[in-house]
Amino acid sequence: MRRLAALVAPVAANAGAVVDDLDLLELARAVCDAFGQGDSAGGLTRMQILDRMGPGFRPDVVESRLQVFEKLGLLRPYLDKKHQQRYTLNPAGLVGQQVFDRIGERGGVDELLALLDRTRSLFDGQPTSDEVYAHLRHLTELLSVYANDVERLVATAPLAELLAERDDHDRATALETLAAIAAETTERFPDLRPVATRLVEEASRYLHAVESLMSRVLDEGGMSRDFSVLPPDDYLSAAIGGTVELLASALAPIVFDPPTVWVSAADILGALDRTGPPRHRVRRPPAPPPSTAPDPVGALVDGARRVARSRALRAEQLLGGDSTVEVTSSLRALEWSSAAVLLADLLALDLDPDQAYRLAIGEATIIDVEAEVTYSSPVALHADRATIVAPVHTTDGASDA
Amino acid sequence: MRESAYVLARLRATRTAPAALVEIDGVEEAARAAARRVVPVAGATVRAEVALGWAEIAEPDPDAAEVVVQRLTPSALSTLAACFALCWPDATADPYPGVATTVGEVLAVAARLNVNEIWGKAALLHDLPGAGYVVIAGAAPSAEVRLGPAVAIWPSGQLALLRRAHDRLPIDGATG
Repeated sequence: MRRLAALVAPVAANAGAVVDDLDLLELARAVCDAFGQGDSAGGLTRMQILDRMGPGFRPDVVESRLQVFEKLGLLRPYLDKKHQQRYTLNPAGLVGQQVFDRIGERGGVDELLALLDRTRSLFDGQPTSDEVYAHLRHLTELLSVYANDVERLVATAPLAELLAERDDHDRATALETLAAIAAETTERFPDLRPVATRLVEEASRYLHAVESLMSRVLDEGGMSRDFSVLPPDDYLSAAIGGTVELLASALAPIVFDPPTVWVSAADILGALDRTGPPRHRVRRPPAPPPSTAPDPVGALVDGARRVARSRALRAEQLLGGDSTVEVTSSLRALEWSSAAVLLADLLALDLDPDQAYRLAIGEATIIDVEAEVTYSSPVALHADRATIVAPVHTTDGASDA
Repeated sequence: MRESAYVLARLRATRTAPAALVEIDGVEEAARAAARRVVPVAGATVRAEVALGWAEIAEPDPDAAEVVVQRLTPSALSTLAACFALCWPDATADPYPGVATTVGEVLAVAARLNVNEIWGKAALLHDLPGAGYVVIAGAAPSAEVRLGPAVAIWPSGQLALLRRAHDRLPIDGATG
């Protein structure tokens, strides 16, 4: 607000002409924004302005401010009639609002840099001596004013104010290009040399003042142990780039507790429990020699394999090379005990998934009171393979191997 | 800042300080206000010194999340047990200042506790003196070993617990 007061001082009627409440500036911004959003063709009524400003503003304050704005011409009646309730925004007021915003945030150093840019671009064309003179004089005046202000700050301002101002002047290094402008001026317009020299003098006075401001900020910030004096990036680059000795020197006056090593009685007694006297180590007994006794499981597996093979041979005997054979008659011709064994063997073959034999037992019942096998059913044996053709015997008795 | 605060800061940073400093007005009061107590440690040095311990019932809980403490390794703990056994023969007396022993004797007892000689030596000559539990004077192996100021400021509860189990300390080859 202090800067804004200075900004309007040339046109103020009295010292109380500038509001001293930041909220009122916010209110003016909201009024200007109200005309920027949505359809404002034909102007806005007071109610519409109030509605578009959003919450947070007291209606009576808004009303009094709107009256001021109307009186000063920021808001203009849409029609020049008494009790006209629709308003439009004066474009000059909008520009003024933006200027206030920028000056409020950046303190106007931007204007100095912008003027510097304009002067530099002047030399891209064919400037007249008067043009260059006007620019240089304007720059010199601005720099002189800024230098005076910063010198005043360094001499009298408290740390908090210095911190706020420091951010405004942190781009003062951009002024270093000013030397190039001065060199160009003296080269092209030798008669402007005194003006250029004056400009460089004022610039160096300004830079010197900014340096004094920075060093006062650092000195007082360091004394107060205020870590917010420097931006976090500076601490980071110091941590990365600084030597161990340099970083340690910052903490030289700080007292540290030595590391606390905690030992409890339980720790000591626990250590005694863990260590104790040398204990007898339990060793694994030596491995016994490999057994020479026959392998019972292997014998069982071998036996089962032998039985399966003898059953398969029996089945092949019955099949006689064919893939299917009717074994009913063979069964009926045997004694009942042998017939039962044969039937059981064939059934076991059928159940064995490793053997390719299937048994089909018919539903009919054959009753023969004369034979040993009194009751039987038709039984057919089938092998899952092609018919084996019997080897052809030649006349000389040699078999076809 | 008052001088008593500087004395307290010095005691915290250096663990021990000349006893004459405590005679400065307000040091004992400042220590009490900070839940600390000033403990005299005559120790091996001729000059009387003091150390800063915790006041009764104000000891920090090492298992609490916000308390950061270092712990000794098992071999260092066993070596410390050997030091206690040799320097604190009488359970009815206070362990500090105790009696003096030598590095060689401590290492011999530690070896009976299955402590590797290298680790035992590292603990006795580095870890334990660094933590203040042991004071070494002279050159190894005949260097003199005493219990340090950290034992003097040991919490009384811990001391009572170890006193009850004093017979378990490895004295005369017995290991409890």
